[in-house]
Parts: sequence; structure tokens; C-alpha cells
Amino acid sequence: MNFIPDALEGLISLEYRHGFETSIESDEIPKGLSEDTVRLISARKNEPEFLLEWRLEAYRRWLKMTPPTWASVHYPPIDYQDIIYYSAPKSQKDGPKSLDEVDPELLKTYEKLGIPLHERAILAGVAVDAVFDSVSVATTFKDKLAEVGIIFCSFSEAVQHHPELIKQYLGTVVPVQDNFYAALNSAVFSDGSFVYIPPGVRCPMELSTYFRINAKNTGQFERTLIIADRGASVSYLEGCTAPMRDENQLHAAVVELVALEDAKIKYSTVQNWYPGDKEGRGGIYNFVTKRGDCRGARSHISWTQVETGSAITWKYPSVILRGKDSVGEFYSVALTNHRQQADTGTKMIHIGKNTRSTIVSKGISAGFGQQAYRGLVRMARSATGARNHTQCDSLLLGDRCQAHTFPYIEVKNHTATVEHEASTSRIGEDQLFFCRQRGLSAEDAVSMIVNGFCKEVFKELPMEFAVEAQKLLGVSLEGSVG
Amino acid sequence: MNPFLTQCRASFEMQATLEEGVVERGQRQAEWTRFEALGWPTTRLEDWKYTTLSGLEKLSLQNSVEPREEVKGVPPSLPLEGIPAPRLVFVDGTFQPDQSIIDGLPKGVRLRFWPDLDAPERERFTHKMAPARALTAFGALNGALFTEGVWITVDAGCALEAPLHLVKVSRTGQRMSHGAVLLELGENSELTLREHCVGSTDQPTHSNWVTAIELAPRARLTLVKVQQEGLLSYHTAALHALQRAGSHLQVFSFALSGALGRNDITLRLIEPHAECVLKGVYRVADRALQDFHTSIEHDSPHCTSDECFKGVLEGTGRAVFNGRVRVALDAQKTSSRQSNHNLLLSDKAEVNTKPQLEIFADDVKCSHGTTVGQLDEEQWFYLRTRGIAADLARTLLIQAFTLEIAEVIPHFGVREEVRRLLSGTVGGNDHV
Repeated sequence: MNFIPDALEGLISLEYRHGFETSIESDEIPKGLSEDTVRLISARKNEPEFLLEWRLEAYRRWLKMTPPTWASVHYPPIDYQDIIYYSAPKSQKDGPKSLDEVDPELLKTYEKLGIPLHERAILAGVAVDAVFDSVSVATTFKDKLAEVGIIFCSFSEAVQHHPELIKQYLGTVVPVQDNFYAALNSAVFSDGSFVYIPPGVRCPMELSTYFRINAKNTGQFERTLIIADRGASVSYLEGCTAPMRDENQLHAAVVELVALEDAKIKYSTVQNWYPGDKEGRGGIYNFVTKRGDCRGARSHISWTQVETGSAITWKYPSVILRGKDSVGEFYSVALTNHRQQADTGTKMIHIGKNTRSTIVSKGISAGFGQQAYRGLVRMARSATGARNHTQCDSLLLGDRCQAHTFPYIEVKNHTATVEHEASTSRIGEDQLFFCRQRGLSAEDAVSMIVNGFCKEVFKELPMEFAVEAQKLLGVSLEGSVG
Repeated sequence: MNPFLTQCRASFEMQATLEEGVVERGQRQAEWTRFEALGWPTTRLEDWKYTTLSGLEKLSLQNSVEPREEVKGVPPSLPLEGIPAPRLVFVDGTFQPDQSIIDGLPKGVRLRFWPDLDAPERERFTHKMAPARALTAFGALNGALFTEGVWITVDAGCALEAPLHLVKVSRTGQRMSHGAVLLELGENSELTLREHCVGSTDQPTHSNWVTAIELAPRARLTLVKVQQEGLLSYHTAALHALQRAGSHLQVFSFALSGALGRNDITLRLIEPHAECVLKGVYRVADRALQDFHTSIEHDSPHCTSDECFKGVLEGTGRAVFNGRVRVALDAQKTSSRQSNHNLLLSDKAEVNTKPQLEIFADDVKCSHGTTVGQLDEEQWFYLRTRGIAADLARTLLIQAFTLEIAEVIPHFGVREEVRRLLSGTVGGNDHV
């Protein structure tokens, strides 16, 4: 048995590596959640008083709430006292030492996705100290953005340097008591991204979390706040197509978008967290609250998401269309394979005059995957001339998967127009036959048909993302054909 | 406890004094317990999210406890005129042999009434009604308080040419009526049932009927229900159907008036090649609400369903549509269509619709579509350019919108009658 020597070695190396750093005890707080935990997190992050109060308020409300049970997802109850709510940015000690130690399955996936070699190491969480030139990449980006006055930094930095903006906007789109997971996030959020685009500025590049090195390992309770001031526009990318190594089982993130007059925010997500193994063991619980607020006239918020990872996805990126002539969009591809479960959709709340929204949702279920579209389109009495078009299609691959649709439509204004259409079917035998006849393998044929099915959504993604997303879909569907 | 519930409890206790067997008493008690356990439906419950019963709960209504309470002579207001034979008339939830005409029924059709059933028959009747009563809290209330039941059986191979009319009249104000209809169709039999729900009082009433249908292989049933009750009438109804191999069921439901209507319809296709068609129209005007909760359950492969509901909303009218289609595991080759279209004609009307698909099989074709909108200006303009007055053009367009549903009623006579009803004033109660 070489178990003991290994463990010993681990301990030795641990001591060695951290000889001059703060000791472990002071870097982590004990498991469990209490008011003290919240205070401690806030203190560690050196937060101003108002933010602590805000966190405590959220915590007190959270105590009185119960986890939502209406979604069509099943999982054992989560023990909220068995979670470590704060640990300093994970040191790289616990990661694999080199690519050789990384799960070969993961490496194969990287290969298929065509991810450059040097990036594979970061994604797999390999302890590489000098990551190619990412630091310089980040710095160049920052300089360029600062020139036009854009603030793009981690949430903690924003709290320190721009408390007035945080105070003004935090929790105004997703209030602390919004839902169970949002309240939990508000109480204990660790970090996240903060973006502010000043009036009239068009962000010169796609902002991406992936390149924002300073906020690596933002952890399980991520908080993102994006503000586009009058006439500003920004496109923001979250996540990346490669499977990320992540040890946290529960993720409860909150994303708030604020678009003022004539502003435009495009938020794209590719989520490919660990979905658990074929039998459904392990995997991330992704319980996210995302909401955008079109506050000003003619503002525009667009959500695009490609969800292929996570054991359970519970996520409804929404738009509140307050300003007149504002536009909300939701484009989604969600794929569930093996034992994955996804309950996802959107809410479009039309309040302003002549507001418009478009919903395109494509769900693909394979294996034992479970999938639900759950959406709400509400036309308030004041939403004169508002319009919505919703299309949600499901594709079924395999006879043990499920696809559900729960669209809520509430109309209180007679000049509003709402259209909803949904369909569920499997891949047509004739389509498959057509492709096979032309020499395509069954897998390629399915992948091609699935990509065609998702095209409407992919075309909304930024170019390079779209290419990756297509490949990702192919990889995620492996083993589901036949 | 609200006044409505207080009165229900009083009725329930009064029924204990009636002569009934121990078994029936126990069943009533069980349903009452279930009703209490379910609790009064409030908008906090998902199934009642958009339908408030605040109007009903303030009412203190009497239950017709005396069975076979006969109407002495036809009161002038009893709207039976023009309803041909064969017909079964129920007034305030009680069967009226004098008003009913059932002599001409063919031999294969048997009618039995709850008061005449013997103990084993009562047990079977109750057993077969159970799934319909399980649909809502009002179903449980029906099980506890019902005074009348009719059991219609059509023997195998028997086909009725003329439609059987089922007339339910709410004649007395401040009354509630709880009745049960059990419909069993044998193999290859055929029946058209026309259900009239009418009111002849301006007082508040509550009609709470449950209907259970069982179709044997290849049986064909068409059910056409029209709700035309008074402006203050409350209507709750539950319909549950079980369809065996190759059976064919068509349900048409027209909710044309009343203060509040709630229809819970569940059609279960439990053997292969069964087909169902579920269509309806709801029209609501000021202060009225119509709510349709439908569920089509494909439990077996090779079944087909087609559902379409259309709504016309005026004044402060409100409507709720919740259409669920469930395809069970292994119910392959299912084909299911569902649509819901709404015309919002006033700035105070409101519609809440939720088409819901739950699919557990893969080789299926399922679709649903929903629209909410106004009259098409171009169509209106087209009619105006041809010299048709504005009001008439509007009426024509609304009629065309709803008539589409009536067009597909197979029986000519019933179809024409429904067409006439739909051509009346929109949302009005002029037929009462």
C-alpha cells in the first residue's frame, strides 16, 4: 500500500509550498452559515458598512425562506451547514501538477474542441505559475478599456474603488429577497465581475470572464453587475466552452444587468461544468438568478446561453422591459445527456409602451436527460403595443429522455400581441437517411442535424464562440446516438 | 371559514339525517375529509393562480337535499323550449321525470339514477366516479354533497342517431347543485350527448357537476356542452374520460356566460390507437371569468389528440387557459396538437394562458401554439371597403373566429344550433 507515503508526501509538499504564506486556518473559515460567517466574509473582504448591512439583511431573509420545489428537477436536499462559505482564492496546490496527471478523458475533450495546448493546462487547473502571457493580455485589455473610461474589474475591487456605483445599483434588479438562492448569494457572495460602461461609449472589445485573470476562481457564489449608461453598448461573454475543473457542488450565482436609455447589453454564456458521470454521480448544481432591467427608453438586453454542463441547471435569465421601446431577447440552447436535468427558460416582463421581446429556446434531451422550458411573458396593463414572439422547440434523442414545456402567458393589455409556439419531436428518420446516404457517419449526421436545429441561437453568439459551441454540442452528445 | 364553506358543512351534516347506507355515508365522509384536507382553493395554489373565488366564498347557498324535488308545472322561465327528445332534465341538481322525454331510446341504452341504485351498484358508481372527483377540490365537495346521479350505458354495437340532451337548469336562486354523470359506451357503440347548462334566475347559483366517461374499444362519443347560465352563476365542472383501444372521443365545450366558470377536463388515452378531440370557446364580458384546465394524457402508444380553444374577451372579462399534454414513457408514435387563441377586445380584459407539454417518450410529434391579439385591421378594412358597417364588420370577424370551432361538430343539428348560439352578441347573456 503506497497510500500513506502519498498522503505524507502531500503534507510535506503542502508545508513546503506555504512556508511563507498565511497558514491554512486563517485562510478558510469553518463550515456552516451563521451571521458570524457573513460578518467574517465581509470583514475579510474589507467591505464598507453598507454592504455588510445588505448581506445581513439578505441572510436574515434567507433564513425565513425555503428552497423552491416547483422546478422539474430532483436532487437530495442540500445541507447548507456543510459548505465552506469563504476560502481565499484557491491556491494551486490542490490541482494536478502537470497535464500528465489530468484525467485523460478531459484531455481528449480538449483535443476535440481544438483548445490550444497552453490553455488546456489552465482549464484543467494545472498548477502553472507563469501562465503564458495571460497577465500581459489582461493588462493590455485593461489599459485599452480605461482609455475610454470603462470599468471592468472584479466585484471586490469595485467595492473598494467604486462603492458609490455598487451602492446605487447592487440589488436593484435582483432584490435580496428575490428567491432562496439569490438571498443565499446576496449573503455570502464571494466575488464576481463588475462592468460599468460610461455614457455614449461603445465597448471596443468583447468582455470576457475568461480573460479576466484577476478574478479566477470566483467560486461558487458569484455576483456579477453590469451597468450600461446612456447610449453605451457592451457585449459580455461568460464562461468558456472547455470543461472547467471545479470542486464546488453548489453554484448559486446572481447576475444583474442595468441598461439605461439607448444602452445595449449582450450577455452570452457558455456553460460546460462537470455534469456528473454516466450514472448521474457528482456534477454541479447550477442554481442561477440572472436578470436584466431595461430602465431607459430604447434600451436593449439580450441573453444568449448554451447550457451543456452541470448535473442540474436551474436558471431563468429574464428581462424587465420598463423603458418604452425597449427590447429583450433570449436565445438558448440547452442540452441534457445521461442523467442531467435542466429547468431553464426566461421571463419577459413588459411594462413600457411598445416594448418587444423575442424568445428562442432549443432543448435537446438525450440518454436519461430531463429538460424543461419554463417561461413567463407578462404584458402589464401599461404595456401598450407590446409584442412578444416565443418559440421553443425540443429535440429528443433516446427513448428515456424527457422534455417539458411550461410557458406562462399573462396579458392585461389589449393592444399587446403575444405569439407562442412549441414543438417536440425526434430527429427525422428521413433526415438521418439523407445524410447517411451521402456517406456521413451516424454521429456526424446527428451532430449536423442538431447543429441545424440550434442554428438560430448560435448565430446570436459571437463568431469564435459559435464555432466552439458547435463542437461542444458534438462532444456532449457523444454516446447518445445509436 | 367563509360563508360558502359554512353552508356546505351545514348541508353535509344535514345529509347525515337522510336514509343512506353505511357504505355511502362512509364514502361521503371520506370525500368531505378530502375536501377539507385540500383546503379552499386560493390563488396561492398553482392550479388556482389566476382564478379567485372571492365572489363564491361570500355566498351562502342551499344544497338541494331533498331528492326528487319535483317541479309543479313548467315555470314559464324554464328554458326547455326547442330542446328535442330524447332529453334528461335536471332542475337545481334533481332529475325531473315529468320534463324529461326518454321513451324513444333504443333498447341498448340504459339509464339508471342514483336514488334507484342498489347497494352494489352504488358502490360501482362511486368507484367509477372517483377519478373525476379526484380532479379538484370541488370534485371532492361533489362526492360529499351530491344528491343526483345518472348512469348512462350504451351497449356494444348500439348507435344512437339522435343526440341525447342533458339539460341542467339552475332555476332557484341561492342554490347549489351537485350532480354526477357516468357515461359508459360499449364496444363499437356511438353516441352524441348535448349538454345544456342553463339558468333561469338572476340570483346567484352554483352548479358543480362531475362527469366520468369510459369508452370501450372503438366506441365513439361526441360531447357538446354549452354553458349559458345567469350573470351571477358559478359553474365548476370536472370531466374525466378513459379511452380504450381505437375509441374516439370528441369534446366541445362552449362557455358563453356566467360570473365564473371553471372546467377541469382530463382525457386519458390508455390503450393504443385511441383518438381525442378537445375544442372549446370561451366568451367573457364584464366581471366574468372563464377558466379551462385541460389535461390530455397519452398513456399508450399510437394515440392522437387534437386540442384547440379560442377566447373572446370584452369589458373587464378574464380568462384562464391551462392546457397540459402529457406523453408517458413508451407512449411512442404519439401525435398531439394543441392551440389556444385569444382575442382581447378591451383595455381591461385579461388573459392568462399556459400551454404545457410534458413528454417522457421520444418518438412523438407534439406541438402547441398560443396567440393573444386583436382583430386584424386589414381584415376589418377589407370588409369596410365592401360597404359593411363598422359594427357589423367587427361582429363578423369575431363570429368567424369562434365559428371555426363549431364547424367541426359532426352532428348536423347540434352544429347548426351551436352556430346560432355563437352568432349571438359576443359576451352577452341574451340566450338566458
